[in-house]
Amino acid sequence: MRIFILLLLIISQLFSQQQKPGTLSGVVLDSETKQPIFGVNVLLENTFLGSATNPDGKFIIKNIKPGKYTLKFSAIGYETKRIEIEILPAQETNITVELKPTAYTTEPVVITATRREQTLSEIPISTHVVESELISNRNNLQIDDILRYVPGVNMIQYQVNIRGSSGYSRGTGTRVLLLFDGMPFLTGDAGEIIWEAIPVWQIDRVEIVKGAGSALYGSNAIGGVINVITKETSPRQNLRFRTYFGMYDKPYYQEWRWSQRNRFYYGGFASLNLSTQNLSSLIHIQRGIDEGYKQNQNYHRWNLFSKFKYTFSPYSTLNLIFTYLRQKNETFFYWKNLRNALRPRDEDVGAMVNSERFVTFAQYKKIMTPKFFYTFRLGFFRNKWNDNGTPQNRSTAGLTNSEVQLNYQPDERNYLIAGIELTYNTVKSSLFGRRNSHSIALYLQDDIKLLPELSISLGLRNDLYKLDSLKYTGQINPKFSAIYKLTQTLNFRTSLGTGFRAPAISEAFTSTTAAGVTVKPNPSLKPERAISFEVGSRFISPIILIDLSLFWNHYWNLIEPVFDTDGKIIFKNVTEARIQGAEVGINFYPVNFISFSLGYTYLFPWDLSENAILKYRPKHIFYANTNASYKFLFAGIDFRFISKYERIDELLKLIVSDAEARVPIYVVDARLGIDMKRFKIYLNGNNLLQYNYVEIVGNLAPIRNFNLSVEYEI
Amino acid sequence: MRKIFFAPFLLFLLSCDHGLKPSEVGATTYEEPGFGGTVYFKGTWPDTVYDLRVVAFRNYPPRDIINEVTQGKAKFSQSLPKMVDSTKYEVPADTGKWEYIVVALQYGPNIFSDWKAIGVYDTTEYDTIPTPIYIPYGKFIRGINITCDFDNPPPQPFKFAKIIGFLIAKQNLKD
Repeated sequence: MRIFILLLLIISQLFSQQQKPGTLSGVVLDSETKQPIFGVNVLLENTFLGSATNPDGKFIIKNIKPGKYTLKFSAIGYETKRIEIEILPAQETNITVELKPTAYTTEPVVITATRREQTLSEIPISTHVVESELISNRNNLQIDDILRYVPGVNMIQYQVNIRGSSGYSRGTGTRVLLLFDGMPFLTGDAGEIIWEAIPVWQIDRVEIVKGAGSALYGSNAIGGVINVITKETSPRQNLRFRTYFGMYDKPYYQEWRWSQRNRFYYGGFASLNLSTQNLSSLIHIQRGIDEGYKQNQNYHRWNLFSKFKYTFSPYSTLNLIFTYLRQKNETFFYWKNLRNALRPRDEDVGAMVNSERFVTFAQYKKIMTPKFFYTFRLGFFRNKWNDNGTPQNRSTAGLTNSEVQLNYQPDERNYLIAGIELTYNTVKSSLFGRRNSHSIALYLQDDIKLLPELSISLGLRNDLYKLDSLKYTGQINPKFSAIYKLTQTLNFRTSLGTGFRAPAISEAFTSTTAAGVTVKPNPSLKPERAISFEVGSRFISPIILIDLSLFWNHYWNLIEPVFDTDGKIIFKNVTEARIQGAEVGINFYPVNFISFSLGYTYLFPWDLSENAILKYRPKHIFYANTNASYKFLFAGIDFRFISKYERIDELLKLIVSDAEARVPIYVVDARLGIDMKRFKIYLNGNNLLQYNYVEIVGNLAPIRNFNLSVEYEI
Repeated sequence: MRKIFFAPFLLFLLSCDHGLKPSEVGATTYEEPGFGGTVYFKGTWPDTVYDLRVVAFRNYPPRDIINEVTQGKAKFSQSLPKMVDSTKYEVPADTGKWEYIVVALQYGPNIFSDWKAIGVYDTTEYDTIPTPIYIPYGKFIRGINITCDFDNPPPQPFKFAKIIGFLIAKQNLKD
């Protein structure tokens, strides 16, 4: 019924435009140099109409309903400006606007937290943004390296934890949803994240939303959502190259020196931007080789990424995105023992995996009226791999995802979002058998501006899913959040939401023996559930940003691998847990050439089923970063501390020698570089002080390594 | 306030320590891997017992068991004493999982055929599936206790007699 009313309102909007529309055009200049500015966002506030300036600083917005508007101009490195304008019927209004450069960092725009663009200060839940410049300067080769310096986030090798959500489940069934330009990016079989499939140098920004987000994103968003947003295709034609060469230092202890020579890693990419009048494209090809600092841990990797944007009209665009990964990698499961920390167990020597994965999707956006637009997405994620075990394990999964989202702003107080999402997944695997699953979800959200200083957001999502031969299961997830602006610089927020995670096919149907362990299926698994509550405050001024939050998360039916009565491992709903904590984040920009940031998270992760601390969760996470730049030189240093996990799996103690050998994590990374706009040189030192630690048992984390990379743009 | 200011620097200094080091392995002394425990005997001993041993197999139910035996993957103890209530045993075995631990009795003169299982390591009462054990690297697992009931022997696995016989004969040839 609600959808029917919504559609009725939309249709009435469509037919209510009696007057002939007008056009707005103009040019945006730098107020100091009087040069045109490229890439300025121009938006008619309280509508969906907008544009961005081209390389000549020009913009045009057509089909504007006559009337008075506030026009907003925003660009990185410039102060945001608002002007009042009037659009006359059937006329073109031409303006020239000057923007003042600013030394201060502008607030990032976030779309993940509420499924619409908002500045960070408007977001009612804890959200963190990592921008492309920092990713590039750090020469991060994979996106998981980026997340190692986000407050409240810690990686357990390849498994991401937001505020202690995931623990370690051997890659299966992540409790954090990863989106790639909005498209779910979890494999259809194990429900895992393939970090290396993401072209890290084409990322515009990474948005991390903390706390249960299933009211907007459904299954897997039980601990949070990470959205990787790639760069827009550019109307400028350019060719970009980057190459890197890195070297691992010798292991700190003589006993660990397994190779006669230093180990290297190297690679690079080339990307090409091409455009015609309506079509702009980006093609990116990347090669990476890592010899591995551990024995039996090398990889050879090819990545291909392409993005095509076709503009039918200023209000109608189609994006086609394709990302492909082909990889051959050796597999290091666990060390032989602490004395041989960089050598695998004898039985794992030679273990190898071949994989081929691609994601392709089309995204269409149409602005129907100044008050209504919709987006439609259809995508496919294929994941194929095999190992060289005896007998050989192999798996192929195909996950189709489709979504329609409607955005409607009936007045200045309300912003409605509704959508439907469908998925269909098929798996053919020697481990899980021939399986399929499908789901359908409906969601609705209303952002309401109750007072000029008070906004609330109400949302509800209903997921219905079916896992192979099992019965349909339904999940209803509500959410509520509010933000109150006490002053222009200080706000308070609260949010309450629920989350769930449907069991992955691998958890319900795995049947295998590997690394001395037999795993048997459990088709009676139930979904995990969570409720997440947070209160917080944010102070934003041009020189400092302080974010404080207190959070409380309760989890039910957490799925964990346990020994069954027959001695075999089975995934079961065993754990009820509560994770409470506090977080503080500070960004400080005392002068325009230097910045500092700190993040500290205190976690109290308690396993209520066993009345003990949760496994694989640290109590303290601390990060500190500083970045400095002067003319064309830049430098930075990062430090992270993660306290020692107090508990690990009893099972792993049996399988892995010296499984209890672990320490708190103290890591220092540093960088130095030259940025001459088109030509850049980066020198990075990772784990500079050669600190030896594990993120998961029996796996020494990367030892000290250095890399040099050079980038050139034509 | 000053403490808070200096806390990051103190943490930073801690990273000058190098974390894990190989010497920590010394805390856990290396043992020849294997397992051992006590075999308890119930019921009436047969009149003739030619041999009695604890045997370990990698898989249960035994898959390609002849191959396992010929490749030396199945392991067994020294001969156990006869006509006793209980006896200690040890089996040197490699690191990893062993799914089937059994006490095998040679009841006749034919070493190749006169064998039967009289006790299985099974810690669960409600099924007949043997309990596997895991031997970590450099560890000898103790307390793998097995009860043998001569009056109520466990299910006899396929080709059990031939396999045990072949295994023991092979070992005898080596000796």
